[in-house]
Amino acid sequence: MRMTTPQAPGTDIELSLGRVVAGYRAFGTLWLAVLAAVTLVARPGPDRPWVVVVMTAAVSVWTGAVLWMSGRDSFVLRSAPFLVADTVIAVVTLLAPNVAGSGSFAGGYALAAVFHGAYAFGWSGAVSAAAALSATALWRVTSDELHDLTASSGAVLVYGFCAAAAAWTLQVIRHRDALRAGAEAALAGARADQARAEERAGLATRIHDGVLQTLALIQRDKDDPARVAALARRQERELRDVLYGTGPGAGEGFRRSLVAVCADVEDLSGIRIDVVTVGDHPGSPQVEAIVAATREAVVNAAKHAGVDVVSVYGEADGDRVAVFVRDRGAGFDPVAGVAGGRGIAESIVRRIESAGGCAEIRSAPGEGTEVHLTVDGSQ
Amino acid sequence: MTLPAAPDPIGVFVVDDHDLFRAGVKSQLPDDIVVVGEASEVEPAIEMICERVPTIVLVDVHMPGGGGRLVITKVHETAPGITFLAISASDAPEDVVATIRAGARGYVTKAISAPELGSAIRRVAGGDAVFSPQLAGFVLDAFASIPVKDVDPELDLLTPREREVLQHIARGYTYREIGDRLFISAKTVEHHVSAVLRKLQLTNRYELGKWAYDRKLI
Repeated sequence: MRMTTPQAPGTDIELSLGRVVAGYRAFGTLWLAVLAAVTLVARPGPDRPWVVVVMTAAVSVWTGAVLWMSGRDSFVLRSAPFLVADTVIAVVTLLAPNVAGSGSFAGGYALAAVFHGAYAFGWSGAVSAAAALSATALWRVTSDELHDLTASSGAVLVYGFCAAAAAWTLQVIRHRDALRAGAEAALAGARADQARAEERAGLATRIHDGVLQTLALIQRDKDDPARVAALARRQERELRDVLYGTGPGAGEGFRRSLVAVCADVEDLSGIRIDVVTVGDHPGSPQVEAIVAATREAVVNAAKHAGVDVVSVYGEADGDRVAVFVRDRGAGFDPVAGVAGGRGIAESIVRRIESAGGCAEIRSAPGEGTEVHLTVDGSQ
Repeated sequence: MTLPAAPDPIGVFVVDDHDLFRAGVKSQLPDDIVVVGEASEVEPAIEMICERVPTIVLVDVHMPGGGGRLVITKVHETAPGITFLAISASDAPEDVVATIRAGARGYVTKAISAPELGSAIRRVAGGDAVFSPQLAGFVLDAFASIPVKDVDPELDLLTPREREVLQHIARGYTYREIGDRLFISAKTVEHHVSAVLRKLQLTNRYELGKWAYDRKLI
C-alpha cells in the first residue's frame, strides 16, 4: 500500500483536517469531563477525588493549548515530541482511575491521540498511538482487579479500528486533494503558457509587420538616401516604442506628447530630431501650449536652418516645464528677423505668452538657433 | 576640438554580438584608432581583453549572457586600468545607467557617426568621460529621483553647476560650446562631467536602480 505522507502545513486541506482532529479532541475532553463529574458525585466516591479533578483540569488545559496551536497551524503539532507527549497524556487518563481509586472516567478522550497520530504522521503515527493505548489497556488487566479482559479487549479493538480508519481516510482525502491540486496547477500552467505564447505572437506580428513594410519601402526607394534615412529613423522609433515605450493608453503627459510631436515633424521633414526628456508632467493647457509651440520651433528649424539634426530637450521639474530646441544651422538676427516677417518666431512667442509662459529666442547669423520655452504647468 | 597629432594609434577592442556592427566600426574608424581585437560573446571577450590589454574597449550594453555590464565587472577584477566606452542601439535607461555604474567611462548610441565615435574614443582614452545627450538626460532623471530626505550631499546630489553642464549636454551642446556659454574652459566642463560620473558610480542608492523601473510607469 502506498503511504501518503502528510502535505506541507498551511495548505487548505491540512488546515481543515487539523480542525477536524482538534474538534474530536474537544469532544473527547467534554466526554472525559462529564464522566469525571459523574465519578465525583457518585457514591461511593473515589478514594482520592483530587486526582480526578487534577486530571480533568490538565486535559482541559492541554486541549485548549492544542486548539490554540491548531488555529495557527503550528509546526509543533506535527512534531514527534508532541505526539509522544499527547500519547503519554492519553495513557495517563487511562491509568488515572487506578490512582484515584475510582471507576474509569477516560471516556473516548484517548482516541484523540490516535487521530492526531494519523493526522501528523499517517499510518505510523496512528498505529504507534493505538499500540501504546492498547498496551496500557492490556497491562491494566494484569495489574488491577477492576478491569476484566473483555472490556480491555474491546478497547484494544476500538483503538486498532480507529487507527486504521483514521489513517486510511486521511490518506484517501490527501491523495484526492493532491490529484486535484496537481490538475489545477497544470491547468494554470497551461493557461499561462498560452497567454505568453499569444502575447509573443502579437508582439512578433506587430514588430515584423512594421519592419517588413519598412524594408520593402527601403528597397523601393534605395536611390533616395534621405528617404531611406527617414524610413529607417521612423522604424527605429516605432521599435523603441514597442520595446521601451509606455505603450498606447499610457496617458498624454508632457514627455509623451513632446516625443510624439517631434516624431511627427521628423516624418514630415526627413530631418533627424534628437529628443531628450527629464521628468514628466501629467498635462495641462499650458503644457499643451508649450508642446504646440515646440512643434512650431522644430518645424521652423527643420525648414530654415539647413541642418540634418535638431536637438530637443524637455524638462519637467514639478510644475515648471521647459523646452529647448536647438540647431547648429544658418541662424538669423532675431530683431531684424522678426521685423522681416519671420512670423513663426513671433507666433511661438505669442503662443507661449498667452499661456502665461515665456519664450526666448537666441540666434545670430551663422551661429545656429536656440529657442527656450518655459511655462508653469499648474492648472 | 583641436587634437594633438597622435603618434601612437589607440588600440580598441570591440565587443558586440552583431557582426555587421563590428565590421562597420572596423572599416570606418579614423586611422589613429586601430581595432586590436573583437569578440561577440561575453566569456571570450573577458578572456581576450585580459590577454591583449587594449587601451579602450567598445562594449555593447545588450548582449546575451550578461551584457556589457558583466564584461566590465569581470575585466576590472583583473585589469582595473582598462577603459570602457558603452555603446548600444537601444537606450533602455536602466541598462545604460547600470552599465555606467559598472564602470564604463561613457555611453554613446549606435546612431553616432564614425568621426563622432572616433572623437568619443579619443576623449575616453584621454581620461575624460563621454556623455551623450541621451545619457545626460538619464542621469539628470536618475538623480532627480533620489528622495530629498536623507540624501548624502557628497554623493547623491549634483551641484547646480553639474546640473547646468548636464542640461547643456542634453540640449545638444558640445563641451567647448558649454564652456563658452558658461564662461568656463572646456577642461572645466570635462571636470564637472567626470565628477558626475564618479558620483553616479559611487552612490549606493538603490533608487538609481529603482528609478528606471518607476519611470516607465509615469
